[in-house]
Amino acid sequence: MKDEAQPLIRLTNLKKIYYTDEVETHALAGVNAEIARGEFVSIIGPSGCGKSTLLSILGLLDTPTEGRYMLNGTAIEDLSAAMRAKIRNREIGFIFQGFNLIGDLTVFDNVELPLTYRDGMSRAERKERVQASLERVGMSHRMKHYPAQLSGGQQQRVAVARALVGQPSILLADEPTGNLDSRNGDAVMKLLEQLHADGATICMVTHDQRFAVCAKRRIAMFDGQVVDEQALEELRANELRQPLSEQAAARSAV
Amino acid sequence: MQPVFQEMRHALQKLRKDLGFTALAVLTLGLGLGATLYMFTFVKAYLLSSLPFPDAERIVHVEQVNTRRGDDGIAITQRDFVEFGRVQQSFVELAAFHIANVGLADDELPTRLAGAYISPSAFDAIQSGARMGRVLSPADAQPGAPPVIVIGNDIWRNRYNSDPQVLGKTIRVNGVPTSIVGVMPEGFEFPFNQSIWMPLQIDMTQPAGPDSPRLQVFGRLKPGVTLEQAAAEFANISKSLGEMYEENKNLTTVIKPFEDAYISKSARTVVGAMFAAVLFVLLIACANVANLILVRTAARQKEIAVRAALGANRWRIVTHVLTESVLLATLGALMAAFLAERGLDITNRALIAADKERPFWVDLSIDWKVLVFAAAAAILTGVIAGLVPALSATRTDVIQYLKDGAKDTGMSASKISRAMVIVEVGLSCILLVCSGLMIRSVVNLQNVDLGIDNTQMLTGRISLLETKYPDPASQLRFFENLVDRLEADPGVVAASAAWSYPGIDGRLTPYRTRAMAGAEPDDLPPTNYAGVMSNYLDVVGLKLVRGRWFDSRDRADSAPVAVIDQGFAERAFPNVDPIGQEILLGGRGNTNAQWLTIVGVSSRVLLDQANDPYHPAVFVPLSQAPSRFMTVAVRTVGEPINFAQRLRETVSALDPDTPVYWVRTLDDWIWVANFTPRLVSILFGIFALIALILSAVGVYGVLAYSVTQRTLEIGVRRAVGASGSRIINLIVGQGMLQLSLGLGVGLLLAMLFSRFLSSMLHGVSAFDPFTLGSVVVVLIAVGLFASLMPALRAIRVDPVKALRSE
Repeated sequence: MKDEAQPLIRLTNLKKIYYTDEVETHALAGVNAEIARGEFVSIIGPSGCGKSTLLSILGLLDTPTEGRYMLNGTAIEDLSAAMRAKIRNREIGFIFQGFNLIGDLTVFDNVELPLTYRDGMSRAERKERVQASLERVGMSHRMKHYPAQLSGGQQQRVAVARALVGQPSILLADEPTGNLDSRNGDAVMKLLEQLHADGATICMVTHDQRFAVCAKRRIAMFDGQVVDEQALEELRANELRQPLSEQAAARSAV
Repeated sequence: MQPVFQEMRHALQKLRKDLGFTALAVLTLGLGLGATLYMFTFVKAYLLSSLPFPDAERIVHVEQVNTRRGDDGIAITQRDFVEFGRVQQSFVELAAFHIANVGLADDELPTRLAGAYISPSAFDAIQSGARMGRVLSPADAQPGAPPVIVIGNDIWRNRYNSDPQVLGKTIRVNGVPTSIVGVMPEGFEFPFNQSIWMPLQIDMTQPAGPDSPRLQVFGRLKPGVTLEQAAAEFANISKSLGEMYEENKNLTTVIKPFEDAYISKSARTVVGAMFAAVLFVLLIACANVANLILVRTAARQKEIAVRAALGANRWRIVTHVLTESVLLATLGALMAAFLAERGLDITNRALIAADKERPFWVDLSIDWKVLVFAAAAAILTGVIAGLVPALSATRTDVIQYLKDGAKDTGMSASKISRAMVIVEVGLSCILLVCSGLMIRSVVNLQNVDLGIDNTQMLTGRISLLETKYPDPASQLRFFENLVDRLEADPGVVAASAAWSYPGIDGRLTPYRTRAMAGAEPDDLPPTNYAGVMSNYLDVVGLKLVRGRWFDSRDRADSAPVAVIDQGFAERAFPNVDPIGQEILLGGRGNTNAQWLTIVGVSSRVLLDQANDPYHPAVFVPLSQAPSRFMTVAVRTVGEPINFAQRLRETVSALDPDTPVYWVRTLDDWIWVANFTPRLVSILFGIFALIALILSAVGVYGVLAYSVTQRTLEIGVRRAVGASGSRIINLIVGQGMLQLSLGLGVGLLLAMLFSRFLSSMLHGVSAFDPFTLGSVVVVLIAVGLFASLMPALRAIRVDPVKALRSE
């Protein structure tokens, strides 16, 4: 039994370092954070601050170099690739900026895809879940269509349905409105808010302030670290005033 | 199994959507697998099949070998068979037979059938019984026993309309009234493809000389006795016989599986080599499809990344890619089964047309064994073709692809593709070399100089019944009458009868000159010889270069004479005039032979099949060497085959009980003799052509993909001033590098591989420089052509667009 009082996600001094030849890049430099069940959190920060790296680690697509990542009471960092794939399938729903629907599969098949990686689920149950999920995002009438036959907004709603269909513990959304016009972007954000209202835990990476405020809590990042929002604004302002050479020197010192 | 079904459903959807890719991959695999199934049917038939009798592996063949001369496969004399049977302890039953074309006459037209005189114990040895009536019994083989015959199921069904009252019916077999006592089950054609069986009567009064009747001996090993133990026992018996009898000196015994006696080692080697060749074609097909899938997988890296993000583990991704390739291979296998079936049908018809008989247990058709192989080959092919792309797919950088879709699809995929093309070119090179050698060999065979004029000649074989023509004089009279009647026909220029003719058959025997007086019989050189009529020269168009030909002076009771060909004269009498010299034909134990005086020398002639090596030739007058078994030949005014019916009618008018068989033109004999090497060369040609096309497609595919991948690089090169020719050099150079590497490896391997074909090569070395050079030229030309198209596409790259798209 998982302890419902425990946060869904707990990150302790999480670090990610990339090594290329003689260069060491600290993408995450000791991140500490928690996300509770039912929370809607947005991660904000400038380009290269580590948002996407953090999201990849949260989504079990990548592993931290150091530190601890507890998901639903399970320590993730030492799990095998196969085990991570299994947990990813059960606990996490991804929504990507570029939708990432598979062009050769119908809407139904795309949404069904995560369930096909799950053992012991009957075809009838899969069908029921896919239909429910598509109805939830208002796309059940396009089940037999292929992605190319849908608009960008519709494709993203299908992607949301695919993320929801496995009934994951958390939805990870990486710039979900980045490829959409403002009207479709608004519609997708409303959908996420509705899902959150229905009890879904959502963690969204965005650089769009308009949508970041929709989240109930914001985690600000700068140079691989979590900072408070006020500090982030100050850091940005300083950066604008500093010459480029000094900025580079400051970053390499992290 | 559920995940596999899901992957199959998805894979089918994808293949249906991309019909161009599917068709190309299925066609490629279909050709590779089709060739493989076709040749596997030969492997199954010739290498894996055994006699259809219980414990067939215990049925073995016994033959003799002359250790001094190196001759093997020597049939056993009746006396030795009796001696072996008296002493041996290794066999439950030791049996013997000799096969013969048997004249069968009843209410219908006389016919000749493939039959066997067989010892009654043979049926116990192979543990086979009659479907109706009985098999032969020991009493049937006793001297003076009433003549009986056992017939095959086909004759019973076709000639006697499955008459249940056929048992006891009397028919004439070789002119002798004989009673039918049994009908064998369907498919029984032991020992080779016989359809009637008569008791073998051992006549111990016959002298055991080189020309004495010989038997094929076989038996069933006792339980627990190995082939080696039996061989050791028979070697000891042979040694004892060698000490007792002069003609058994230097003879030992070889015991081998029965099937090996009828399927030669060289035939097995050629079938094995050709199967290896089609495996090369299959490997090339696999490499090509692997490249296609690799390119397709590279283009689908993002999809694979999405699947990984949604929880697909490494195994599921491998399954995903492999399912697609196995499905393609399965579709390819269906096409392959169709192609192989068609190919085998054509081959079987060609074999029948060429009178190429094969053992009855050799079945060249697609059966369950071939289908099981096809299923296994399809799955294995799918896995081989899909494995590299599948493993490559698991190395997809998920994060990178989900983020923005990487433009570089991975150097490893390109490197693998290039390596596979090198392998393809190498394998094609081997096949092209083998094909080239076989084609050169067949051209040599087809142009072989028999030393005669082989046009306008029709021939037919006649076997006189011993009961009607018991003595040499009556036999000679029959053929002289026949030739007189034929020459009276206005459609005939000349006619003759002889033991054999150039291009049809040969009879090899050792010979001795007076100068070889002290030579050991087993050290004597061989010559072909034939008894011929005096008008032989006119029919075959042979030239007499010295002395005289046979005429009325050469009678049965006159001094024995011979005419030799120039080849004989050069070898036996290099420094003396051969006219007047004497020769003795026959080897060890030939005590009745007479010295023959040479009266003439003909031009050089190949008195053997067209694909046999040349041996010197000796002719003797038929009057001094008559035979019941002769070939008549007529030189016709018109198309020779149109005279076939007249020939049959003329023979039938002379004796209705004597059929004429093997009626063919001399050109047809040459065609038949060269059939096997021609078939092998055609098959190698087809395999090599498929390999060449697939390799060209492979080179093209990899370069075309490379051009797509290097669009930016080409754009940059163009932007900084590279000319069109520099870009063409860049792309063609890449293709030529792969080609050169493949060619180098391929030529080396081809020289090793072609040695397996040496037994089939005629007048061409396995390392023939012309063939090797031609293959290099062909491959370079094809490689240049395949490289040029992607290169031309490369120079059309617009640098502005290429740089902007980046």
